[in-house]
Amino acid sequence: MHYLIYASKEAAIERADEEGKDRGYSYWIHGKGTMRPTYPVETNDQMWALDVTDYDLDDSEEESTVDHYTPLPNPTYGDYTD
Amino acid sequence: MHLSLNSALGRQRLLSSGVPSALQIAPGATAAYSLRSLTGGDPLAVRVRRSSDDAEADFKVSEITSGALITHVGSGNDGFVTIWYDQSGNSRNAVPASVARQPKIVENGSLLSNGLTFDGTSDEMQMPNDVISNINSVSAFLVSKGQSGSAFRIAMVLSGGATSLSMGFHFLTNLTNIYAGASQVLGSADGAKHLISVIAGSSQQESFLDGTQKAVTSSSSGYSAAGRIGSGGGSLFFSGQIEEVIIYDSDQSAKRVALETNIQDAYPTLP
Repeated sequence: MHYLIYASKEAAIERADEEGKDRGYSYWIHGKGTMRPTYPVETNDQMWALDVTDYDLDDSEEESTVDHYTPLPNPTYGDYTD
Repeated sequence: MHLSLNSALGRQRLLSSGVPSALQIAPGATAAYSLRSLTGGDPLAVRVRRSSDDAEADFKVSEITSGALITHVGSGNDGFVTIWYDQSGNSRNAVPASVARQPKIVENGSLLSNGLTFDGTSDEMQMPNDVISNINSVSAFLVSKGQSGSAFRIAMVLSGGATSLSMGFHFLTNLTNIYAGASQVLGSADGAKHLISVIAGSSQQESFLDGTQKAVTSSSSGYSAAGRIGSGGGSLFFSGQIEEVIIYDSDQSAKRVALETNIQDAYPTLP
């Protein structure tokens, strides 16, 4: 898996939307349906990771990808016990 | 005597089918999702993307049963839901944020049983923030079939934070609801299809499993938008099938039994 790391959720979504447009997804043609291939996930250091494994990346993006990130911790059982 | 057009149409639909629909029994839903007709008519149910070329099309309830959906997806292909249309008339459609989050409805050219299949890894659909307004005045009905055994997954969430309202929460080996942060055990997570209901009014909140009351507590007030079908909101992804969701931004205690009976009649494999 390959990820691009963004400082903001909006910037990551913008890149995902660009990929969706390039692929001709339904939303960008018909105004409804699929918009983007992947959606950003917040990282443990308040950044946003976008899975770009199948994206058509430019050279600059290729050089910036990482193969892992640390996500925010998932909820645990203790978060839901009284 | 004056009769509104809506009333007249509803009466006509009732007369033509012989059986009142779910939303005729309990009108005023804030959102309603299903692959069957909840209106008595032939509403849009889903928009589906096929795996072979990403082409999408909308399908009414009748076009699911007629085989048109299967024809669109094509032999050997998979079909994924890109919009689960709201049948309430409020256009509060449930939408996945990306391809990776789309639940499956067709696999290898065949319609999957028991509704939309959520993969337990990334599938979830987002509901609009105004789907409800307060957990002290809400009613929700969920038909789902999760995995058995021990897990930590959520079928649906309507509110988050201290005012949490989650339904079909597979908590270890139990099936639970969460209301205002407190867990309410409905039964064991047995892998069977169940009807899970929540009713909350100004004084008390109740949880039901297959029409039987399992928990009652004092109502709490507040709301934190978090509406998701198929996860707890980007985590605790549900593994299983979700067939129907009907939500009211109001207390439907008086109509609960009639609506649950309608749902149980529609899904004969419910206990």
